[in-house]
Amino acid sequence: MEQNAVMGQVVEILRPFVKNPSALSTISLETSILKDLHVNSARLVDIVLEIEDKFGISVSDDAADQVKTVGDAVSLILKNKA
Amino acid sequence: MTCVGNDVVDLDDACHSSAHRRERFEARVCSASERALLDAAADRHALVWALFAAKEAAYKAVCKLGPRPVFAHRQFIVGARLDTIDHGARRFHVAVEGGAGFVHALVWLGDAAPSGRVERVEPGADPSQAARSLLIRSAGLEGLTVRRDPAPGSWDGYLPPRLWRHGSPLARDVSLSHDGRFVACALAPA
Repeated sequence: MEQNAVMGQVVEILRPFVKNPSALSTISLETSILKDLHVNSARLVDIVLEIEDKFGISVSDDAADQVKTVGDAVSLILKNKA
Repeated sequence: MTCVGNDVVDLDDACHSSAHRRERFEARVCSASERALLDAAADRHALVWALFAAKEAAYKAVCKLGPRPVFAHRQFIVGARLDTIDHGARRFHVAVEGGAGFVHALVWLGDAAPSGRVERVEPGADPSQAARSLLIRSAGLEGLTVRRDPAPGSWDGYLPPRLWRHGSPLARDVSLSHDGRFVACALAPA
């Protein structure tokens, strides 16, 4: 899968969980999901579940714990889909 | 020094989009024993968020004891009476308080229970600042500030909050949290 396509899908997954919607207009791979998008930890669990559903992958606790930025989520998906 | 953690959950903000999602959320977050508690609960919604808050609070306390573990909610196991939480070989005390629209968990390691407070945050206010203000008011001493020093590699890039007074850190552990309409704090006894 192409990185840009995955990035677009990740942004759509994040959109309903983001408490700071204006940050989506400048989102990048470096954007912090917690600090920049103000996603809380409960919503982060939901985001992991949504990623599992949308991409048909299983995300371990170890892998989920490493996801801090949008780029981390994209990399996780690309690695699992490779 | 008593090591503390706390977490508040806004119950109106903490909603799942579907039963399917709720079941998977619980399976990811809760141990088998906790899921049995949920199955028997009169108020499943309140209990799942009480468990969640206790795990989040315990994680904050565990991180202070170092090194930072992988945050796997299932590995923090809350006791049936909601008064203990185990992580590995460590057993923490837990106190869960429910209020109008929120649940708040206090977790501590040590004999003396911390004090905790929850407060509504004004719409549009910075919740981080509001939580710090609540902590300072709760401590009841003049000249207090709250500091979080940078710590690359920590879960949010900063060390846990500390209370400082007249240029020196106080020997009382503290914890801050916020979610939705609420901010909360915990303060170890003097």
